[in-house]
Amino acid sequence: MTETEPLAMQVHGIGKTFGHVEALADVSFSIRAGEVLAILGDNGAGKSTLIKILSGVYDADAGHLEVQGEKVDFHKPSDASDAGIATVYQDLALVDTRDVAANIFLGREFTRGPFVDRKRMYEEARAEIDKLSLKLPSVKVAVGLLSGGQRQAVAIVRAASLGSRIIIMDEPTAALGVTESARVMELAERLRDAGLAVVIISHNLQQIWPIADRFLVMRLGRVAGVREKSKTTVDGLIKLIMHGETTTEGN
Amino acid sequence: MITRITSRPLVAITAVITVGLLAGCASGAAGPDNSDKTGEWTAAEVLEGSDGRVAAPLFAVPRNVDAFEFAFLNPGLSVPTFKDWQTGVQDAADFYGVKITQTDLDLKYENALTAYGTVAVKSPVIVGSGAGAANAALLAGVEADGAKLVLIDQDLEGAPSFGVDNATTGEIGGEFLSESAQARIDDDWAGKNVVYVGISAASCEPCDVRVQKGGEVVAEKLGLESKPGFLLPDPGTADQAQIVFTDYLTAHPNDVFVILGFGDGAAVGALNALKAADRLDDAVVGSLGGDISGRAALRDPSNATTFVGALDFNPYQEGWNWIEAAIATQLGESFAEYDASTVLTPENVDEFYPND
Amino acid sequence: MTTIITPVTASARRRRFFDVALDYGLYGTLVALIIFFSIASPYFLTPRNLTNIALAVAVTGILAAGFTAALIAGQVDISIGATLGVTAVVVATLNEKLGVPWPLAALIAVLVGLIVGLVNSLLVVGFAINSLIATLAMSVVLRGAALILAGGQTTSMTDTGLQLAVNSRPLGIPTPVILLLGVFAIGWVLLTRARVGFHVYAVGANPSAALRAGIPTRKIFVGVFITSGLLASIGGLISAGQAGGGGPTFGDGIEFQVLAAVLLAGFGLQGGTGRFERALVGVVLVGVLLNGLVLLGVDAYYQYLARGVVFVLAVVLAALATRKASR
Repeated sequence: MTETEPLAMQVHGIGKTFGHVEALADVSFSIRAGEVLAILGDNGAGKSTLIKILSGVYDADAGHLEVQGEKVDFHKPSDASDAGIATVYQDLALVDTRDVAANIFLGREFTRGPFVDRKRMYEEARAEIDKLSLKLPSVKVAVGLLSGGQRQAVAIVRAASLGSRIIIMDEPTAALGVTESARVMELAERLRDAGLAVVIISHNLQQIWPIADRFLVMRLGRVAGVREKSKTTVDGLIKLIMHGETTTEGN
Repeated sequence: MITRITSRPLVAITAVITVGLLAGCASGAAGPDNSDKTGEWTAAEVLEGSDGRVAAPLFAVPRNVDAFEFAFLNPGLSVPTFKDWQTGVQDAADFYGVKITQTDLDLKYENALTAYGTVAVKSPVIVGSGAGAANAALLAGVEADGAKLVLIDQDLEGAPSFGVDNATTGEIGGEFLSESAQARIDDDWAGKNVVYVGISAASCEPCDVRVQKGGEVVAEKLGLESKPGFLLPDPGTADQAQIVFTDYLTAHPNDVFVILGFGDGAAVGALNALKAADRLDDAVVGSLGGDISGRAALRDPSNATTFVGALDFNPYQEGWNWIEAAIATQLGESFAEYDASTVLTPENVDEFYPND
Repeated sequence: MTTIITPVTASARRRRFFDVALDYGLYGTLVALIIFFSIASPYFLTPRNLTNIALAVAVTGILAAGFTAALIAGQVDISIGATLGVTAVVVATLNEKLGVPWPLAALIAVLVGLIVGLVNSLLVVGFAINSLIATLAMSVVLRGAALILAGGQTTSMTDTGLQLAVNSRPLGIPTPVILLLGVFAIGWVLLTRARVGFHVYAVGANPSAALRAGIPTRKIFVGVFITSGLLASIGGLISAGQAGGGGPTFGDGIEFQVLAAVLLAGFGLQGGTGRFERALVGVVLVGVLLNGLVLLGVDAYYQYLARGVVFVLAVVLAALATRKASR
């Protein structure tokens, strides 16, 4: 499940500085297909900055990235998505006034000549949703009218439908209640089972523990440690988050 | 529940509009009928019928005139002169027994043609406007419908008109100002530098013509060497004119001024500026228009030696005269020239306007 | 294993009622006015009068089309009135004072709108200035330019070519009306059926989401400003044709009429939402109201009041639309 799976992405020595603040330093880890990697850390640990570098919003000041074994250079978000990395941000980046289908295919609408092929958009949207065994009542509803969990689902469906190999989710359950959070986590598992690499940033260890396979703990801009689930505990992770690497409990 | 909440204000506003429309409709009059009258209206009757405001009819209107359908495109009711036009037009229409539809261009002269289109459904035989609001396209549109265009205070080729000619009024203003100025030059202004200042208004071409002509007359009569100065307050209201002229005063601490305002507002603004700077003795001021604000300034004793005259346009009479000119044109007759040569002064203003 | 996600909530149903209420409000008021005026005046429902209404709203409507397109993209362009004025002055000056044949003069004048659009987009996209502020500043500059170019006067065109063209009625329909309908037809197709229209709505509703989805947001902004400027210029040509000349005060204040009509039509100022064709309905509604009031001989001051009431109605509807659009 882990060492034997192909490497979806390799992160080598990433660093990022904003003015005098070193937001990230010497960050290295790997992301594997068919696994859920949880990124943990307190506020200010550098999780958001790391995600933005992986998704092409920021340029790294040091280090490099490899996707499927090949070195890549991201200068804008479309570079990352072209390389197969889809990101679902905390604000979901949805257009509330447009319907579900329009949001799933935002920026890559199906056309017949110069016109949008709405029929096909609805059909394909329905297909993508069914692929993930989701039940959304209608693809013609404006996204702004959906519940938090449904909106999250639409954002994830969009990421999945991009044909990406890696899906990164930034705090997907932060604004959701217990039931809807559980359902989003189920969705993440389904993506993993379909062979994608799923990376989830979370500050809710209890919620992410059941579904994650590996945990990357960030602390003060550096990697505090990487743990396989089988080789650690919730308490162990908490200690790592708060105090950094103090024991040799390791990968 | 929400549907009810949102529809209530809509219903309320619709009700208000409906009531307002019905109230406004009540202002429409029934058709007049003159068929059993004979002879023509005399000047004395017109004077009485207009409460003493119209001393000179342009045409002796027959008493049994048909209830013609006329239309008037008022340049902008926000301007007192044009508001007086509207009142004069309406009163004359009621007096003589003709029908009039008036509409307000609100100073958007480019809409003249479409405004005509709106009133054209009533098939008016004579259409009026003036003061620069009419244009060749309007004339073409009116004539295409077989009607005629008659204008006040505007020269447009192909359209009969009357009223104040901007150049002439400017010259008259220059004349009476020069007279007063000369008296001062012979007296306390001896040895001082005399400057002409014309106060026009931004984007008002007729206004520019008036003060320019006035400047030419003053320069000639007083032998001024310096080029006349022009100020363009925007808009040409008294308060803006005061601001602009105050700055001008500051820039000319040692000069004396001969000032012509395109209208009464400009002159009043200059007077207020002079008062504030305690330099009323440094100027003689004149205006073109003679509206209520100008007459008030003439009556003000503190202006006595400074404000020397206001040329009386008598816009109410212009409005009234328009109906007469329209009737004359419709009957194929000609109408008289408009006489705007009365200069109101502090001495005679109460004689001409006893009812202010 | 299928996941059942909670169904559409009650608040969603409520919001659909808002949409319906706004719809009925706008079209309902228009129909009510038409019925009222038809009964109250024998002149109202005549072909000539209906054509007049269309003519009277043509320029405002064409400007509203451009304004609405920009508004949907989240931008406010209030330089449209000044652009109209400058265009009218340019075409009249070129033709009358420089002897340029009127079709060429018209073409050059329309380029003015294009340039204005480009400058607006430079200010908003390049320098990140809020569109309201940027276009307000531009409108002041353009008014000044028009006044200088025109010497403060209206330039009459003795060559009646443009006048005849603008006032012509191919197939009995006045040219400005054909242009108005054409502009709205093309705009409607582009905004509701073409891909670029989808993107304009997305950019207006959530520019960062659009950017992240790979939509060229800058190009969209440039596009809508150019469209708004070009349409304002076309409005300027029509005005010049209708007036037989061009003056620096043309179009002064027309942006408020456009704004009132667009707000009345339920467009929120935040962008990304609103049915494009409603802008035309809003413009027509105001035109019907004013036309009816003149035909009924309503006192001019009551007409002002009616305009004011319509504006208040517009503002209230805009507030409702904004509340509906925000979550």
